[in-house]
Amino acid sequence: MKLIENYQQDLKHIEHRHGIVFFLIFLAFMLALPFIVPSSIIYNATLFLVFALVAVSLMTLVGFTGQISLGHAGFLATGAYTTAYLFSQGWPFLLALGAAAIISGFLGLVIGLPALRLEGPYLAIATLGFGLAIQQILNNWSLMGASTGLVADRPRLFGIDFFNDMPYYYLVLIIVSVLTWMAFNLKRSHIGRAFQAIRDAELAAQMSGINLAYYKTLAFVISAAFTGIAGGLYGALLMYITPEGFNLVMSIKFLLTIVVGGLGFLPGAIIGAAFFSGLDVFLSSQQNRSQLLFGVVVILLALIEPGGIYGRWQKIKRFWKTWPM
Amino acid sequence: MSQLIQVIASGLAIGSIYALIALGIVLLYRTTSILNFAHGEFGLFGTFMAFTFFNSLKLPYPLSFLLSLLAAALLGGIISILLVKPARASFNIGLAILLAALAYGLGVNLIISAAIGIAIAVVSYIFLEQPNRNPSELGLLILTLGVNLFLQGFYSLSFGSDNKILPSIVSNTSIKFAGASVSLGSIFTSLMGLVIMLLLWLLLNHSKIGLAMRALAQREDVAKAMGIPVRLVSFATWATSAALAGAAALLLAPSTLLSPSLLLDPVSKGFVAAVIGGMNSLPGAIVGGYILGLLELFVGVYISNELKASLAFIIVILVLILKPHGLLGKPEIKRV
Repeated sequence: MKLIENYQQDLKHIEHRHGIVFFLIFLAFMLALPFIVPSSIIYNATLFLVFALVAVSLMTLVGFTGQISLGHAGFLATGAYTTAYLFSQGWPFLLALGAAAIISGFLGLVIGLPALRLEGPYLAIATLGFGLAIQQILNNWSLMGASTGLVADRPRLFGIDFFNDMPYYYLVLIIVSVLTWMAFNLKRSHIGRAFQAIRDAELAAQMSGINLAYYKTLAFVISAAFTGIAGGLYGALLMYITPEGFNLVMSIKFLLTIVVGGLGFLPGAIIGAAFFSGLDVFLSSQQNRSQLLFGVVVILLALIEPGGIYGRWQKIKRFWKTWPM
Repeated sequence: MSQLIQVIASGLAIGSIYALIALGIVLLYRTTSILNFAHGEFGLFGTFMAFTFFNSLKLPYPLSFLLSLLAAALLGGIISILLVKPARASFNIGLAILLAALAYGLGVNLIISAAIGIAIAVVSYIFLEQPNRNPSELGLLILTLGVNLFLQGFYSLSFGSDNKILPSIVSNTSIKFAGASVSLGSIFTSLMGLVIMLLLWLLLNHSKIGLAMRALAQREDVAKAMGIPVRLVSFATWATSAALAGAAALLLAPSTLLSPSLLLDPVSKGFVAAVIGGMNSLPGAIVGGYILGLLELFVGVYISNELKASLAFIIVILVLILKPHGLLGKPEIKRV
């Protein structure tokens, strides 16, 4: 029998070759997408990518660390406004995105520190309050256009004009896939494992030497920074941002996205975002019905399949692997 | 001086609305440990029913007020029976209603989707084993969010999203009091708030069902072992909570316009009031509601109107930093 001697051998147990294959196939599909679908869908596909990034970042917070947030629209708004404002002041676009990540991450730190002492409903309401407070502050801040909003321009980078939907789609695709890849790696790193340990048993994690305060705050900071970048991309996609766009319903939809996709699984975040974006395109003419339908799907999943779409897919996969049993 | 009296009177009126909403949230949370995000939708159902009773059926105002409270309570109770604590038959009925709504939402004819629903109810009752579920706190929260979206969509579809007007129960005059003119509506709202709180206190402390609710709040499994019908008590709790939301919405509705987004802001303030007071303390909810209402008015009048909007959330974060379980709440003891 071969003994495991070092960490590299240990990692072989959780190797995920299938995951990489799926990721590459998905990436190839997304690269080819603008040539397959009509051009009006490209806008929605970009929206899907942005929401997938938000879902991935929310998954690191809610799905891995087990801390609920109902205020991610606030981080998204911070990112969108920071990027739009700095870009209009003449900063390069990518630098403005970086600044958005830093400022959002800082706000994540500000909200993450009091969140250390909170749990359950208290945390849910505190983050909800944060999201609404950001919206109200933007509503009254004249530098940021107050309630009339702010124009968010799309950039010119490396000699390419990203004003049209198709080039912008590719820019978003590159940024989102790099960040998603980072999130996948984060989950496998010691930080990701600490997050999951905190989620599964806080006390046991603390007994094993995990610094709860540090990792819980870190989860908020990472999640907020990723959402800030998504916000910058979202603002430039919309080209015009108002505080009303970042309301409570949006935060709730983000939370529902990751729950429908499958809580605790990163692919679930992307599936959930795809599901909601697809439903939006499908039902774009009937706004009221789409809300009814969202509600029904969420209730059905909460009743029958708490693991979400990805959880169900894993059950099916396990069933076929061990089929005659 | 006269301005001070006016501010206090309006602060008490809006505070009692916040307190009523917070009471409903806290009552449900401490009895069933569900943070109910569909709370506002129950209240909205009450106002829409009141509008229908009063305008279409021409019922007298107090009667339509009471009937719509009853309707809101029934809606809450039905959600509890069908979705939150379902027995086998009611689980299938709930499933059927949801799938019929799914079909309707996808654009199927109303009659055909009803037929689909009935067929599914029968088939699933015969063939489907009820999944053995023990939903987590987050799962229940998600369920109520789903109910929230579902009911919002339903209201927009069936009542329309245009603004309606619900007349006030008292005449729109003000009375002079020590040089200040205080509107009769706000006095009425404060008084009704007190009456409803008193009724709730009587229900919880001097009735059998109230005793059962308090028992369930302490330990559900022990209450069950003592022969308390848990589903019935859960029904009663949801109904009481929904009726409180309905009362708050009916008191609020005459001062604004009636639309599906009527309660969006008051309910988030109600959540804040509940958290300020402590999620498992009923007196805390009342204290939180009045503190929030009065402070909002004071800040709005004497400091700045811009600060008023985000004040609630500054207060909640300050209170939670100092007392993570609210002003009057007790921390839950965790055993490993």
